[in-house]
Amino acid sequence: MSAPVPRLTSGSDASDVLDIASPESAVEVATIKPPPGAPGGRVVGRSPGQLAWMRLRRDKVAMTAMWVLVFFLVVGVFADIIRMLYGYPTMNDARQGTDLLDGTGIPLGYLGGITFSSANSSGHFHIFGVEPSLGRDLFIQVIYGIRTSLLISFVSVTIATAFGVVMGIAAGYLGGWFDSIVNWVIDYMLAFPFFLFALAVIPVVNTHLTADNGSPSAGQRVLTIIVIFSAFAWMGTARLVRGQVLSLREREYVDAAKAAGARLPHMLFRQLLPNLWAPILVTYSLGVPLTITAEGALSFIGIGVVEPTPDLGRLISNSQDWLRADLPYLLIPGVTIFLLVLAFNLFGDALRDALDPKSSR
Amino acid sequence: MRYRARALVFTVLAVGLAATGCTKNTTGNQATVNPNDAVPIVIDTEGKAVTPARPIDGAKSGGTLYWLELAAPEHLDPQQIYVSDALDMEQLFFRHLTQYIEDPKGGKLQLVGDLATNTGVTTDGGKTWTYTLRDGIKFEDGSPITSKDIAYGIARSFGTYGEQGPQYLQNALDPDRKYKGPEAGDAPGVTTPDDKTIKFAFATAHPELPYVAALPTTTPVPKAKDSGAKYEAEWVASGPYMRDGAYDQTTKLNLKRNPNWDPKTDPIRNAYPDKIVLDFQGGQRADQTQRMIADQGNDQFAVATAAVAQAQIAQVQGDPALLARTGQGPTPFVDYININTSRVTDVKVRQALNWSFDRTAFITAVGGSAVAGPATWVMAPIVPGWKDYDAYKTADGHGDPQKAKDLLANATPKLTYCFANTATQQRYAVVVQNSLQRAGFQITLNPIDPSSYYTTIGDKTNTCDLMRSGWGQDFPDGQSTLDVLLNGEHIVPKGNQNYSLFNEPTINKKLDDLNALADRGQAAIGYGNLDQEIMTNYAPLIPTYTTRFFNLHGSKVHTFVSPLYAEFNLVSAWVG
Repeated sequence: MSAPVPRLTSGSDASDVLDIASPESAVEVATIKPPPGAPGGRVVGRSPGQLAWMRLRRDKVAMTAMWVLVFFLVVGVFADIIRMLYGYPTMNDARQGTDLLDGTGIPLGYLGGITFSSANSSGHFHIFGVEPSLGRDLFIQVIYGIRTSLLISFVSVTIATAFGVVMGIAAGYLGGWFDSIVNWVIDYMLAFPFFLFALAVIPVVNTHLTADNGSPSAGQRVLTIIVIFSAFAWMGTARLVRGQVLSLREREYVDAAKAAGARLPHMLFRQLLPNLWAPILVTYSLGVPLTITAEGALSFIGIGVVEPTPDLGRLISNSQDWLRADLPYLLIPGVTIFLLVLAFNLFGDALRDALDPKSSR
Repeated sequence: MRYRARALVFTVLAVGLAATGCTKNTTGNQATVNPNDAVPIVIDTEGKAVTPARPIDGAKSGGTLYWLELAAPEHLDPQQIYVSDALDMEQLFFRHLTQYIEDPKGGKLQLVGDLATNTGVTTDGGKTWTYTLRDGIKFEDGSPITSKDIAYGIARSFGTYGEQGPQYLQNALDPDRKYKGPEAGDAPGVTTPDDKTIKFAFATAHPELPYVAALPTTTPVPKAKDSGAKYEAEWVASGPYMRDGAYDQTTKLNLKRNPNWDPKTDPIRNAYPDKIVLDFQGGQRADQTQRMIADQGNDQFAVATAAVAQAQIAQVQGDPALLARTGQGPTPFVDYININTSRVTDVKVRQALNWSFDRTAFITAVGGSAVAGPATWVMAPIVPGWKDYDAYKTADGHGDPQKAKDLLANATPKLTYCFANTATQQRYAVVVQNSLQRAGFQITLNPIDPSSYYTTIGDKTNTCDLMRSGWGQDFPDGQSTLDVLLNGEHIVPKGNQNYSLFNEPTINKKLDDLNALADRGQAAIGYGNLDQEIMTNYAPLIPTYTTRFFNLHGSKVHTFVSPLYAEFNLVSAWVG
């Protein structure tokens, strides 16, 4: 039996509810009155990304952190240009800088040699002062140190995240023996004490990686550090992604794609991955500060990059000998690395809140 | 709680800034420059040295003296001792055939017979030597010290338990080194006709034997008590102090008086303190400096082995009370940048390197004139015969890059600079690189792992063009510097100490002739002139600086700086 067709009885009048045009004209689509306050009077559908960006924009702390990060990135990427604008011909030029020090190596003047005039023996101003015992300009060391830190952390975290994502998705989707193996490997790698391992392995690797003059070049040292960091940073991402995939693979669109004959790579990277970008982005932005700190720590204990590659961790390590006589030598690189890591952490937290507002309740 | 902590942190930072950065640092904090001075030596061939040791003015007996050091010496087995801090402290418990009397007022060093009555008798220009031992010398357990004990000690130095020590006596007695130790019988060339006499016979003349005998190679070891590897902790004392309790070779060594040491047999040691504590966990250079400045508790009776921390040199110099508690003076150590003459063969390039090097900047990086004096010679100033010259002199010591460029004819050689990978050496390497690059050199820095550094550069086939090393003479004679560092005949494939691989036949012959001269005073003048000739004509290395002693001691310690070992003198120190 079919449902009865509703019909208006001849006596009632529906015109106060619907603007129905008279039967003579073409059928018109009913217009919906816009809700009060909507811009432009039109409602536009928004993607999850745009919604997240809107939420992020409302968070003042996050926007400040973001601008700080952009500033550091610009400094890191354009370090050479900044140096040329500053007026220094090469990175490690001391330019008779030792004449800016007193007889025992401590910078003359205030706050570790900060001076804004060029009327001194190096013929240049020094907005952050000079390094004790060497007389090198500290501002140049800091901006190149930022570049070293950012380069190493971004490359390591990118590699680690990429590898972790692939492992996590594959393990979560395939299950079975592959999942067991990956889990076992993750547990094994997580059990390694990272710093002890780095302390043991990096000097040995450096001894083996000899250039033809008997020691690794700066590029080789950086590569070793990136490899070690990547090898130890992928596990967190893999586990997180695997957990997400375990729930996602039960969704209907996965079944639909499988029924349509999708092969494994398509399943992993075109069906599952686009739904995972939120947690991946968050772990990425929280992994970078961890790597920056770890790289600084490695240089602090002497197994990171060596002279003449500038490095914030090594600046802090050198400053220990000068605490009583030149405190700005510790404070300036220390505050720089602190701001960098803090900005990343705040931004990563805000990003997580923006992408998944349920998580903050 | 949170807000208070935040306020506290900011207050500390503000106070810190105010205390350090916000005061203007001016050049007023300059070091007073002490001129480098050579210490001449008097040799007591006739045995006129007075016993007991001449007293120190105002000295009082008693109390405990402390010695602060970062780590224990590797070896206290007498035949294995070769490092300056161990050589300074071993005089407290070991005696040798000969030894030096150091003058608190910085006067002449005297080489005298220690267990022997004089510095040795030779009638054939140094091929045979005879030593007669003093009466009344005993070990810590009361048994007499005989010439056989000394001969056993020397025999031991040829074997496993003498490998790390100086090899001068062994190489002189047995040039082919066929004798391998006491299991193979007595040492070649050493005879003991009776308990009080010991004779040495060499194939070639060795006029330097009295100096070589002042090393602990000739410390007597009772054969019955030789416990091999365990002797490092179980040694038998022949000096004024003996072990008080066991020695664990890591944390500390407590010494008490040796009742069987008779001061009337000893012209050198005063032995004023009753007890001595050698503290091998005395802390890093910064820690030791802090403790000495604070001068609290037992630290008032302590001497530091580390120099005043670089950041506090200005503070110590500016405070007369602290300055009065420092020991200052020359040391035997000179630092060089050796040029690998087998790779950098053009003497003009080597001279250009010397012209371009900025010594003044380097000295500032090391800490200034308080702890480093500019070195323009190979031999240290305390070596007899040292001659003060500067073959590459510039007015302010900053080097002359233009002269270097002219010598290079505008070429830009690529060179590598090898150094041990420590934070301090990295800093110095930057100064080296900057100063040489002014003349157009392209310098690549090559940091080498510190634990294998000397092994690496001691390998004849290493690929370093420039390498940093330091040297301190083993005994006060030019031979112990020039002959070791610059005689081409002593180049060996591994463990080489002629790092610049300098091998010039005319120079080798001149060195050999000087080594064989019986009159060491005459030889000293010859070594001084040869030093200048080598640096001017061949430039096999760049001398950088000579270490100057600048350590603190506690307010109740009275001692002076030993010119031989670059530490505080312990045998004439007193507390009170």
